[in-house]
Amino acid sequence: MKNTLEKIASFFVVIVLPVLVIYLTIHFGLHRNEAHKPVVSLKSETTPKVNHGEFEILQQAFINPKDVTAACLSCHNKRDDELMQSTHWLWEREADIPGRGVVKIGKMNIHNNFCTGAQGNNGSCMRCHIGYGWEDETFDFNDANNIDCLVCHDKTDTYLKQKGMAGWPATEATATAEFPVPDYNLVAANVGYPDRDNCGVCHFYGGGGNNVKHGDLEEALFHTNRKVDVHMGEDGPNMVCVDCHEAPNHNIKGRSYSVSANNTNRLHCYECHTETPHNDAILDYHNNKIACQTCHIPVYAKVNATTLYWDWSTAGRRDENGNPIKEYDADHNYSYLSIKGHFVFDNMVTPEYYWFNGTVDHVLNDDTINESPVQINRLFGSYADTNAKIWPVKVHRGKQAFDPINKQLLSVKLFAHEKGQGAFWEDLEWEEAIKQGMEYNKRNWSGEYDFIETEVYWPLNHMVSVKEETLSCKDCHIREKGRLENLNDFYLPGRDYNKLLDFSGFAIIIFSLIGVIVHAVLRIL
Amino acid sequence: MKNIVIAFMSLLLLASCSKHQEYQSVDEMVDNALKTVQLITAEELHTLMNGDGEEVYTLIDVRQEIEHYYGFIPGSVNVARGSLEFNINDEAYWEHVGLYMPLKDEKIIVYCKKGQRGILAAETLTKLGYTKVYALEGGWKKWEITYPDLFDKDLSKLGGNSSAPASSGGC
Repeated sequence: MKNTLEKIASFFVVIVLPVLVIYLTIHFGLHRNEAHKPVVSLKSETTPKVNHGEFEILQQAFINPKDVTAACLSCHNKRDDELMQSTHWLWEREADIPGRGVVKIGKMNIHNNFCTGAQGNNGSCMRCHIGYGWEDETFDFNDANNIDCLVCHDKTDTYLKQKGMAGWPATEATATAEFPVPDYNLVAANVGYPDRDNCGVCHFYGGGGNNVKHGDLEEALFHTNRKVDVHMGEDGPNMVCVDCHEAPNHNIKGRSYSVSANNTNRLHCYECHTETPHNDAILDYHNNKIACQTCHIPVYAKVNATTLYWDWSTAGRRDENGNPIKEYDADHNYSYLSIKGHFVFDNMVTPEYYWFNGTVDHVLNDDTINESPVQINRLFGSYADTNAKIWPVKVHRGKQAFDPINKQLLSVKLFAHEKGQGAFWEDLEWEEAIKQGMEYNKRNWSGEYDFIETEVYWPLNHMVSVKEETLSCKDCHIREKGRLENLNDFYLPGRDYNKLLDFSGFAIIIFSLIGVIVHAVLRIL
Repeated sequence: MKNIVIAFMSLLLLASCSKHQEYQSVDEMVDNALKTVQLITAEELHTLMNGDGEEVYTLIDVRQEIEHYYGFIPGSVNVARGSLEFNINDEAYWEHVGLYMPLKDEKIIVYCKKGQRGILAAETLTKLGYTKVYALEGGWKKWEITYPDLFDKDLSKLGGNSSAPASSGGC
């Protein structure tokens, strides 16, 4: 009996145990780094429960798009109440900013270093407001019929707001080949969840052209592949914006930190991917201090170039015949425009990296400038901040007009329909453009202007790369020229070192090895 | 059997001695070149350009002519990478561009659009016996964003500049 037990034990120890260890090692080795695959239902696969084309109210002969809105609201009642509380409508929201308190911020009152500010340039900028006719301060934010339902819900891709018309689509009087009068019956009969065209028509072209602002949102995403964006690739999940940016009660999740400030209503990768998606404890542990985006968005502007520098101080030049100038770089991006100044564009750009805890401060109209370059929006966060993580960021740098006496950024009137109305884009005259821009915004101007260096910070979220192209360890954990070389408020293994500590470590290893060898030799002898 | 083993070992030895190397990608090729090529940053080049002028150096843009004239670093001469080996030691060429031909022990800095062509060009010059060759890290685009006000362009050399990007958007 004892002999049999010994044989079984020997068989277990000599055969079964090693095989089990080898099997488990191989099994977990093979499945290591096998990412968690989320299973989510996509809004883009939802179709309306009704055929809107059958509704008599949508078959009337629409002349004014506001009548379409009235027809929509006759069934979708209360939706206007939701929408009129949204930032897409108000272009501002309350924010509690550290050091500043509760303030209202948004496109209503903050600056940027692209076209510098929306207010006073309504005809042009308010094309991307979800309303009709925000031409000046008389726009009625309480009139529900001013809501443009179609710009977000059109599924025909034929409904367009006309350029320079403050959010109005073309009329018989203004129609062009590019902007025809919409077929309102066709569009109203074909509405549904927003697709890429509905969001992209504004969010891909912010700043006056494709990919000028974001760097990770551009027209290439209308039809793309997994290598450009692993979520939106048509050869992958083929997701559209609202699949992540859900909008319960028209409150759209996610926010752009160029116009918002608080760590609320954000979208997080873990909502689909969990907080431990890698099946690898070390990689998952990185999530404590590293945003997913840092490794998974190694480059941005993967297809078309984005603006990295915009110098307004050079704007206004004319050629020898007195005409405005347009010049391009070797990649056929603008390098100079008389109406806007000098640009630097680039694609396949490596992000800069900053600590970011989800809160941001902004330079507001009344703020005094005490530094150069001016950080128009400043990301809060540091290693010591337990809410902060390292984020990839597009930093847009430039020079723009400021008041050297009052030390404030200036509001400039850029747009008008024709010359002689004080708009810089028409007349190329700074003084009148600043005067009118400041008057519209009810701000004081000393009468002097100069140009100052400014920066705007855009945390990156889109153009997520395929697994094979994410950052590897040595991109950061390397002695020199690593991705995080400018973040020096913490100890980064592989980059940072202490000679005494390193020497001690190596000494312990070497002495241990010597000890093992000596011990083994003594045992053999 | 013994002879087969000896022959196999000899083959292995010969293979290990061969200098022929194949790369899976241009990135791998550039990484290999970086083992011998020295880099210079935009900031270091800027310092050199603003120095006392005692150090002789030649700044070469190895991009194509069609890329160069849209914007280049002041003081640089355009010698496209395809003709670099032939022009670098051709006195007639340097006379034509109005510059002194660089000597083999003088500092040469090469740059391209983003850095990779420059590294390969620098490796080539090193193989030709030039001893102080540097490649500009990140190339023209790195210079352009670091010193956006410091550039030259000569669009007249391009025979017109009519290719315009599509424009759209709210502004």
